Amino acid sequence: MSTGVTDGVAVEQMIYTWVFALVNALVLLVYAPLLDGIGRKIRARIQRRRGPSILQTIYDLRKLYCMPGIIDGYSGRYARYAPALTMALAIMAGLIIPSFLPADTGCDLIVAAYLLVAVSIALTYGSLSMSIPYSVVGGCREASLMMASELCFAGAIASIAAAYGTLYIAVASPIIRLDPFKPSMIIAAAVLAIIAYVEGLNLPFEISEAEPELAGGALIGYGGRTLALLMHSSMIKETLFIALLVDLLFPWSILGTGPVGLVLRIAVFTVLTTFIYMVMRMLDTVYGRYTPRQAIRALKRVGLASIIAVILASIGW
Amino acid sequence: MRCDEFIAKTGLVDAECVDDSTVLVRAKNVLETAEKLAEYGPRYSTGVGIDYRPINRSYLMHHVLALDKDGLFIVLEASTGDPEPSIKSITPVYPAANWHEREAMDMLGIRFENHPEPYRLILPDDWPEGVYPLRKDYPYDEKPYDPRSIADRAAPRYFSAKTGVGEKRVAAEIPLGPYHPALHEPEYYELIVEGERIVEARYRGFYVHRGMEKLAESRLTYNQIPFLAERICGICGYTHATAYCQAVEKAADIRVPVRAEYIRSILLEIERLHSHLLWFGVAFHLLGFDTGFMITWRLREKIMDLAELLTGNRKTYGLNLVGGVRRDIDEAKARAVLEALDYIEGKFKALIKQVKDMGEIIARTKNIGILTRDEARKLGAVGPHARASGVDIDVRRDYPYAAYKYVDVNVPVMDGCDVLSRILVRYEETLESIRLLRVFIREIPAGGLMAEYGDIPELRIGIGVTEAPRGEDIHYVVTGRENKIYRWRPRAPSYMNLATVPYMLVGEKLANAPIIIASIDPCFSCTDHVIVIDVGSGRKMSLMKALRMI
Amino acid sequence: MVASRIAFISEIKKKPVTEQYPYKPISVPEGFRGKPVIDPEKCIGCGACVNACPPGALSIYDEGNYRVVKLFLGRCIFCGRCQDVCPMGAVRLTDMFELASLSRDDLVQEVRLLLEKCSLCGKAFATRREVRHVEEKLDPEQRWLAHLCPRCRALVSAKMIGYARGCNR
Repeated sequence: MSTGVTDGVAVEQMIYTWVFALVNALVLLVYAPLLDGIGRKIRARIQRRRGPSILQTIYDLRKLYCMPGIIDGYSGRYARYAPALTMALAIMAGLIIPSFLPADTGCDLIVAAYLLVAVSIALTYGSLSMSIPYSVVGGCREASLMMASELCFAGAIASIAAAYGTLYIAVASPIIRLDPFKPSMIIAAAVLAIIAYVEGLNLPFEISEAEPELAGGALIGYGGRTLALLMHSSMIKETLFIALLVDLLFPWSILGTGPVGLVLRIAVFTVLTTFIYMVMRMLDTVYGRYTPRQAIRALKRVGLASIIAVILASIGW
Repeated sequence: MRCDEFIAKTGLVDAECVDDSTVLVRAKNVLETAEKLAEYGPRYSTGVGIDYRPINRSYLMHHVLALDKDGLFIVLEASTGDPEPSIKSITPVYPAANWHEREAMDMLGIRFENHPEPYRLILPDDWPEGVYPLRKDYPYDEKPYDPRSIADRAAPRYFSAKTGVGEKRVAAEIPLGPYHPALHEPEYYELIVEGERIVEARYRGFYVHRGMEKLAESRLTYNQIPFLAERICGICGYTHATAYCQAVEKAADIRVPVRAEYIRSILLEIERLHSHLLWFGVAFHLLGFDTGFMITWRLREKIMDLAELLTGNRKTYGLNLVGGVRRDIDEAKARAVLEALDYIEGKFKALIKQVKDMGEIIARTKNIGILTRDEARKLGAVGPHARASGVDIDVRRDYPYAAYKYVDVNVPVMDGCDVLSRILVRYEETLESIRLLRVFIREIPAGGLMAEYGDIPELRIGIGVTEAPRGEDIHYVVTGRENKIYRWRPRAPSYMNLATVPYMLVGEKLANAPIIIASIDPCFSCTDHVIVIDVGSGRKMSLMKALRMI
Repeated sequence: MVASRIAFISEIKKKPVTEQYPYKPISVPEGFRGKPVIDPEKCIGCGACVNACPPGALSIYDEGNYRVVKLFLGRCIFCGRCQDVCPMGAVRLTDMFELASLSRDDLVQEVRLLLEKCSLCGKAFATRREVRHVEEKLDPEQRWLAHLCPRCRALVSAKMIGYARGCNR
């Protein structure tokens, strides 16, 4: 936050920031399932089917929210907390990570990473607390996938910090610049994109729910409202990973400020996130599923790349 | 080799020729005779228990052994009196006899001495003792008890499995299945896992047993049974109808007109195509590649439309009667077949070529689910499953039937012994089916569709075998009187192949279990499984332990 | 390898293959085995279809002065054996497959045929149409035989044979 500004302006700015943040979070609640719906349509069309309407996921969530929440009766305490906790964390992430509107929440990469990972952890913790073996196996897979991918994520963040000496998204963005040009940032961007792909549960990495193997795995113990909360927060998390990518890669300053800049920002953000999401879904449709071991092995290579990025960034590249 | 040559060569006593390719050996000492016959290296095909008391007050057990290289079946007959019927088990000599003897035990009450696993197989655990459904004095529409009245259900069992080096772990069995949202059909696998690794696997099935054999004996005529046989399976129904008809035709010495034989073969190959394409779809689905599933099933739709055009229905062709077929194939229909084949062939080849480039698919199928050639032979595996493990058998070539008598069939055999080999074998078979269909359509001769015949003589044995999409399908028939059969035993190929599943699963990762099970193309599609989680001690599982289990 | 992935993705350009049924009608090929329909004008009540039917969807029984041939679609397997064996071509399999209904009665077809009484003992033994069908095949002098029930017919025939051989009774 800037210092040395009169109280009035500061308060006004704070109101803008939090109104923007609130709008972001609220729009995300609808935008995330809409993206999922678009994804299902794309998947269907590649498979020569008509596919459901793009609003279908929104309808599905609405139906689930109206049904009483079900949690497997023999589960531990955490399974009961998990749905609400996961959604709370997702909404928090949605408030703090800038998306449609440029909410200057002072968000830095560590906070963003923390919140996004927390969503996964809350969900996984709940699954592992269930007495259903499928749920536990799904939770284990999610946990191992998380550990592998968060390492890469951390590496990418560290390399950005090393390159630009800051963790603030607003300052670090765009990470790929012409002057100074840093090859390590190309690697960092690639790593971030792959992590966003993995977090979106795209094949070949979709191992925690794995319907033919685990019949829904991590989410199998939930139904109705609780299932809705978990599915919804997963979608929001997935969208935010892409949002983070877009935040870091696009040179937002060229859009200018003022109402025009705002409108441009909304348009550019929406188009970019939708486009990236669609590409990811296209790839997801034409891949098979990894075994957990294969997935981890693949991510180890990505981790290696992120470490290289850190090293390169620290020596000025 | 013909039957009489075989008897001359082996010098068997008490052997007679039922027909050219079937030898009946009435053994005084069944175990001794079984061991003697083992020298010729036969494959155990099926075992049929028969209540022969109305005829000569005995129970019979007919073990059918197949000499594939010679195209000959040996029926080894063991008989025993009433009450307390008891026959020596030949499972020690032929491991594949295991289930067949257990079935005779359940359904007829014949005791098999020295059987290694004399447990219930077909009947549920709470079926009353001493009630044997296939006995002739048991009415087909009787229900021995009201299932709802059974209060004492079996409680979950605990057992300990020694796993790891010197460590003893207690595994809790959580009854999941036979009904479960994940299961496509009811069956019950118990997989005992350590993390992702399977250390032991057991199978319990027969939840869809419908009492067809009893039904056929009791209230159906010869020509009504093909329609029942067709409904044994929703994928390979026509094979069953054909195998049954062939069995009766053999027993009664009925010559099916050649044109009818060609028509039967055409529909059999069409069924093989639809079955293999279905299987490819399921395999892709299990590997996570749903797009492949959609593509193969889209191609399969063309075959289903063909079947509907040729027979009046997508499945359940209703085409066979004893002695021939009910419908003809005219010019227009023949052309439709060729057009559909042209459409499918190119697209299917292109798909598999693309799939071969997908690393993640190959990685999940190569060297997964190994079944060695010896295990395959010992357990009596059949069909593409056996051929992928190097066992060179195919009923169309070894025991030619229908129009296969007039053509050469190329049989693909691979020795990878893994899931990938099974995929490749079925791929080659699909292409071969397309080729055979084109040959049949081109060469089908004019002629009649149905043989003329009089009364069917009673108490004759007939064996009808076909190569179903899943392997050897054998129907064993003993003819009866008044237009009804005395005994009918259809043995689907999956009966043999399912026994190999536990062998393939042990040592593999849990993630691979569905595709391994599916790779035998089970007739009750078991893409699913039951998981038992192995806990270190007690039942609660801590997060740290869970995370260690990867 | 990338080429295969792109090849798969490029399918998105093509038209979907989904059939729009039930929003658009769907056609079935000629020879499709759909719902069997008994033509009450042609049926003579011989029961051949009942004998042939594998699942026992067709049944035949007497009710008062009538013989009823009943088809219950709930058991029908649409095999067409009834059509095969019917001597009059009264049973035909149509192309109808949309058979779902809220009322069980929609699945039942009944043909009621008047029974013919034996001219000797008065017992009902066959339908009038069956008798007519047989009559047409006989020479005019023999037609009276068709109006006798099997038992009476056998007795009368035996007597006639006896007279022909010179037994005086």
